Amino acid sequence: MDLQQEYIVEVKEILKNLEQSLMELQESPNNPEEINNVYRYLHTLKGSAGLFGYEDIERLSHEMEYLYSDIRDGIIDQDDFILDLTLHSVDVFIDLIDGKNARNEIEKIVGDIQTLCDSSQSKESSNINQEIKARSSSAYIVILKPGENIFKRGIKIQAILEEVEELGNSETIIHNETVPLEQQLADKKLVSFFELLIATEDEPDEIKDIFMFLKGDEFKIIPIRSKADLSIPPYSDSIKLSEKEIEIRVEKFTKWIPDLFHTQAKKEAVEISAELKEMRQEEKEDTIEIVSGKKRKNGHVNVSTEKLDSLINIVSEMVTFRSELQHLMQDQKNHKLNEAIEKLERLTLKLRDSAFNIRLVPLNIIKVKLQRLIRTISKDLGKEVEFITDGLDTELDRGMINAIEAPLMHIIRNAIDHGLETPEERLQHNKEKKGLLKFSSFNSGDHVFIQIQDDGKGFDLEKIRQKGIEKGILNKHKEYSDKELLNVIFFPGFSTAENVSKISGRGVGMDVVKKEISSLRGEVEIETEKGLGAIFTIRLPLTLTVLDTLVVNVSEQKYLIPISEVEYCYVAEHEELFEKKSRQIQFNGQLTPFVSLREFFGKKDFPKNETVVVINKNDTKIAVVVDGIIGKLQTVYKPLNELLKSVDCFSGASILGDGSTALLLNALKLQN
Amino acid sequence: MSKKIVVAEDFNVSRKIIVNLLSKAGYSILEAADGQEALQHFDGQDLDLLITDYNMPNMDGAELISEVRKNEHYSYIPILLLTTEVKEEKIQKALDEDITAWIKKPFQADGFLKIVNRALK
Repeated sequence: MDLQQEYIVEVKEILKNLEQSLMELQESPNNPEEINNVYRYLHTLKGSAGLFGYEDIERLSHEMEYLYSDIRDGIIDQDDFILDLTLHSVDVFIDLIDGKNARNEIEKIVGDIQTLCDSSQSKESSNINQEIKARSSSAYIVILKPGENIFKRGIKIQAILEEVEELGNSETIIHNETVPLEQQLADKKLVSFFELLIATEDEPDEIKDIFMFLKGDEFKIIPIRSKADLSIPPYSDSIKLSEKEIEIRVEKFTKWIPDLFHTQAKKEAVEISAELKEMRQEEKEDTIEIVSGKKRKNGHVNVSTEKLDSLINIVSEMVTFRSELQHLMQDQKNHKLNEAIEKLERLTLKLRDSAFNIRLVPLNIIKVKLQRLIRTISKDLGKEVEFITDGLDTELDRGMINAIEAPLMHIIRNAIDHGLETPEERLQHNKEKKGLLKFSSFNSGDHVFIQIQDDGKGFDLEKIRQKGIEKGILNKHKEYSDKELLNVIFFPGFSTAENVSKISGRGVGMDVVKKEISSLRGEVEIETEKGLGAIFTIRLPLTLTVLDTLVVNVSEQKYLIPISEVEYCYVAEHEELFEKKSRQIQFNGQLTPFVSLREFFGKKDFPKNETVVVINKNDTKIAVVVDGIIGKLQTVYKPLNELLKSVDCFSGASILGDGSTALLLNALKLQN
Repeated sequence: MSKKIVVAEDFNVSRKIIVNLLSKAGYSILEAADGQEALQHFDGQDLDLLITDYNMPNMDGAELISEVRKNEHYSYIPILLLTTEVKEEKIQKALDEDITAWIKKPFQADGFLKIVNRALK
């Protein structure tokens, strides 16, 4: 990766953190720690942007940083508008880093920030206990107007003035010097007041320290960012300047300005190069860590997904190769070789597990995205949503998380749009004003479950039934179970909302959600209670590519059935099975439909003894009748290519140990 | 010549800590366990700072401060007043007229030294 690319990765990381902090701020506005974090991220963003020539990023982050320094100092309150503005700017940053032009957006945001800061200025002047504004700028005007009792309080005004002088670049104006200052000091009777212009490389806090013993209304520190700032008199009630006095100031200080901003630019350059040095140092440390293999707490190495994928591919092929070896070994009687291969097997499995673990990331990484989505939608729809999460440390394959994101968002969109009621409706139904949306996840076996639960109005099964009939999906005269009715939601072209709204009704239906989840070998299910809400449960396999399967055959051709789906296997006589016209078997006292693969593929010559494999997939049972079972196999699973994608009774293919290929059965689809 | 600081604090442990801190920083200390004792140090000699507790037996901090200020020689000496609780507004305001700064107890050593150093400038 070249430096530029690294920078982009870094910026995206910062933006992600920034977004996360903003979401925390939504939960607890004005949380000082998070505000400080936001300020810091913006500062880092600004610092590095200039180096890589992203002027727009520099400009926007600079302005945002201003805003947040005011928020941090309590001059402006972090409110919803600002949160929106900042979130919007995060989007703009992303556009900018992707090379898009967003000038107009930037100007809009900058305009908003300026309005915000301006309106706060008036508020600020009435605020007696102002603090120093920690600006990135390091030029300040200090208005110093000590009270009459200053001497009696043991404060030495001359010491303060001297110390300011010691700072370096400074200029003092003595106002109202009716009696020479020296005389005033000797008489311990102060009538003058002071204006100090300070250009310094010290931290703002250090400047503030000089005036530590003065009261809030005795001094005011104003950061100077431009020449224009010199002519504004934003003073408090106790410190006022006449126009003439301002004139004096502008005249006297203007001469200083070029120098001053020169110093400042230099200072920032120094700061940035120091930051960069630090960054490099950290990088170096990371490299060392890898070389020496030393474990450091929380040490992370960023690896590109391509590299990871290639690792996974190699590991996958090794798993296949191991099967091949095992296959070859079946006829050998060399015990030592057998032992060696067993060892290899254990190691490959270990290698496989670690390789897949690398790809696992906690579900938490999409939380912020979902939070933002919820924020936007609930605002658009005028609904109040309390979003709670649980078990987001559950890990999933990175690729899986990427793929599941869109379906999740769609489900959430639907839940808020169609599930949750408006605050008024909720109050009428004796519910909390805020609707509840719970996003939770947990592991079970080699599956991950993700649930989205809302406490809205739930699905109206009767409505679904009518609509299903209307759309020709359901049969008017047939009785349907609740589960079957809910399943209709996943049919193409089905939507229960009377008015197609901007949020959910954008042509992407729940059928697409179902399809996408199925393509991950996952399942989605709905439970609902009218008036109380609904739960969407998504079940996903832990990894996408390796699968324990049962190998079955129909004549020469082999097929794979995921072991997790197999409930029971037995041998039955062909005559007995095909005795009746309806293709059903009795299993555990239940009538279960079966599909004979031989029949399905139009082959004849049925064997005398057939093998029945009972498959249970999410409580839906189907039996598959095959010639026989060959064995258990851990296979590397690959999706089918475009040509075969429409054949939905197969969800993938795999190369077997002997080099032949086998198709992965999606048994439930055989029935249709 | 090192600067001279009067430290008035009735609680021995606290006083020792303060004295230790300030001696290490290179100041000369005159100790006092109450206001009356402290006042005896204000005998016309050159002093640079008074650090006093508020609640003390015999003579409390407020009284001590007003006595010190009455002495022309010490009218402008910096005074740091140690306190644990927020005082009534009236008392606070009155004291504000006479002291350099409040120091809230408990305090951090470096923050305390920073204030002392500045008061002595």
